[in-house]
Parts: sequence; structure tokens; C-alpha cells
Amino acid sequence: MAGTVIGEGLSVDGELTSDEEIVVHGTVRGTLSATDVVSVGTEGTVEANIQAAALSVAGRVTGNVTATERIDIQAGGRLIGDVKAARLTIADGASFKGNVDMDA
Amino acid sequence: MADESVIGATTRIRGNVTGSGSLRVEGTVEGDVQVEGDVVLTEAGRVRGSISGATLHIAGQVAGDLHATDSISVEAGARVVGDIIAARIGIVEGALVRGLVQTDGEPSAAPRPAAKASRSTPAAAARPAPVVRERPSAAASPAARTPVTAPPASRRAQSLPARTQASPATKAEAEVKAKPSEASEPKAPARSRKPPAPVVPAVKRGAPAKKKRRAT
Amino acid sequence: MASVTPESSVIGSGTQLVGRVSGSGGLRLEGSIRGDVSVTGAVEIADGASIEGGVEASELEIHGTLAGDAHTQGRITVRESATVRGALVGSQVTIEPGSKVAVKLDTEFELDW
Repeated sequence: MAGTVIGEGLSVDGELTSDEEIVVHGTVRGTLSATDVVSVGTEGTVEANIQAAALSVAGRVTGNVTATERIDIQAGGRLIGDVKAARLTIADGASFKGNVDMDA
Repeated sequence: MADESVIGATTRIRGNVTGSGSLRVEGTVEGDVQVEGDVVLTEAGRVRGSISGATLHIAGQVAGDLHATDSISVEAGARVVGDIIAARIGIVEGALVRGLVQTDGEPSAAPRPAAKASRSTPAAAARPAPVVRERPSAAASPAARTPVTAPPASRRAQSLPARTQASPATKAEAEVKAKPSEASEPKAPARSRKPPAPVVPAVKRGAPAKKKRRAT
Repeated sequence: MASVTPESSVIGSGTQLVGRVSGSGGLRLEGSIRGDVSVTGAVEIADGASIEGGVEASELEIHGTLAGDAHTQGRITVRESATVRGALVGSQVTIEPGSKVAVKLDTEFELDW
């Protein structure tokens, strides 16, 4: 279970750091620095550079993303920014615009 | 001498109330209350002045500060406009409080609420009445036992300015007040320990005390 | 208060935020926030959690630390494990003995005499 859940109506503006799982159903603006998994739900919006173990996007992410493990953009999800991860999946129906660096 | 005194429901006191032992206030006090023991203010009780003791149980209404060396509990139905200072403070649901509430001892320099204005009233009311006065109707009430009311002047003069304003002279008194051993010396030694100077800045409050000294 | 629906939020014990939280829904804080919190729902500061900043909420329950002012429409409850410093304005403020407080209460009411 996720340690941190940003609910749908909530907006977080600033620097978010965490060593636990984060699920975003609301809005995060600023920077997001996690050592665990970050998931952006279908209603979630992240306007921040993200650092995480892994990122799963079903909502919208605008920002550069660095993941130590993987980045998955789900169908209906949208990521605009440069990504750096060892593994990347962009599902059919997902949207992506940016540079990719998979050089581990 | 009874260990617990009672100010009955129909009793109204204009002047300060001090002493050792505990006190139960069911009536009205327009002045400061300062005892060594516990103070219980019942739901009908009213105090326009500060209250200090070992433990305070407040269920009535107070326009003044509350100080306790042990704990203060403000009960449902109580209304307090003033600062509340003790190591342990409880304010339950249904109690209404407006003022500073502090468990760490010294009153902070933060601005005080308007209740401060009411503190001048007990002194003003006490001036014409050097001795605590009891209404005639109170005599008829079975609960019209009045508490110990003849404190040494110095102790009262000490207590009045000690917690109200942050005037320089009162700081020494506040320190002195904080020590429980201090409170147990209502006699001459306390008087001699206290220099006349601190009374001067609080002339208004010192006035009744001066009269008291002459009377004794 | 373990149930979490997408309408209410949890900031876990391993999470820190320097910035502002705003919006609708309730918030349970187990981590730390340095910044203001302004939400329409109830805020709970768990034991071990802290907010350094102001809080605006419908209700506030403090088990941890609050250093800042709080304004609620409803009640503010300071639990025994809490440490609170700031002004508390709510319809009702409850303080449990054992808590460490240096607060200014500004509840609206009149003495009846």
C-alpha cells in the first residue's frame, strides 16, 4: 500500500521528498524526489521534475523524469519531458513527448 | 481553621482572597484569588481577577489569569477570558477560553487579549474596602462561610503585579512567585524579603496593600 | 483513520514537503510539512508528524507538532502527545492534559456577567 496518497482535490506546491510509495490523484507542482515508486493516477497531474525508483503514469506528467528502475506510461497517460531510465514502456494509447535516455 | 474554605453561592466579595488550604468558590469574587491549595470554581462561580493555586478546577466564569503550580482543568460550561499557565492544562469540550494557554511556565511576550483591562477593576474595587466585605444576604445562606481573608499586605502586593504586566519590577516577583516555598511564607519573612520598590510601579494595585499594612 | 479514498489524502511518515498544500478533501499527515496547509476538509497531524506553518481546515486534530496558526470552522483538538505553538481559532478548542502548548486562543464568546 502506498505511504503517501495525494487525493483528487489536493494540490501540493513545493519540494516533495519521500522514501515511500507515492500515489498522485491530485496535483503536484515543484519537484518530486522519491526513492520508491511514484504513480500518477488517471486524474493526477504532476508539473515537476521527478526522481524516483519507478514512475507509472496514467494521468499527466510535465517535467523531466529520472527513474533508477523503470518508467511506464499507461494508456490514457501523458508525459511531456525528458526521461532517463533503464526500462521504459509506452502503452498503446499513451502519449509521450521528449527525449529518452536508456543508457544505464 | 478549616482546610477548605467556601465562598457560598450568594456571597459576593470585593477584594482579594488569599490563604493556605483550598478554596471552593460558588459565589462571586471581584479581586484576585490566591491560595496554596486547590481552587474549585463551580459553574455559578464568577471571578473578576486572577486565580492561583496548586490545582484549579474551573467550571464557572473568570475574567482574569489562571495560574497553578500543578494543573488547571477548565470544564464544560466554563468561560475564561485571560491567560492560563500551568504545567498541565486541560480544556474540555464545551469550555470556552480566550487568552494565552501555556504549559511551559513563563508567560510569553505575546500580546495579551482585552481581558487585561478587567484586572484593574479588582484593585479599584478593593481600594475603598481594605478588608474583604460580605453582603448581608450571604449571612443567611448556610454556605456563607468565608475563606481566610487577612493576608499579609506584602504577599498580596506581590501577587497582584506579578503576573499581569511585564514591567521590570514584576519579573523578580514573578520568579519569587513561581517557587512553591515562597507561597508557604505568608508571614513577616516574606514581607522583609520584598523591597518596597516593586510596589511603586504598580501604585494602583499597591494602594490597598499599603492600607492593609497599616491596619495590621 | 486508515481508510483512504482518492478524495482524502495521506502524507506518509517517510515524506516531507517544503511548500504549500491546498484544495479539497481531508488530510492525514504522518510526515512533515514546512509551509501552509489550506484545505476544505479535516486535517489530522499524527503523532510524530509536524507542520511548520499555518493550517486552515474544517477541523484539526493534533497528535504531533504544530508550529503555526490554525483556523478552523469546526473544532481544534490538541491531544496529549501534541506540541503546539501558535494561535488557535475554531468554534471549540479542546486541550488534553499532558500536551505541551504555548497557544493563543481567540474563541468568540462573551462572559455572561
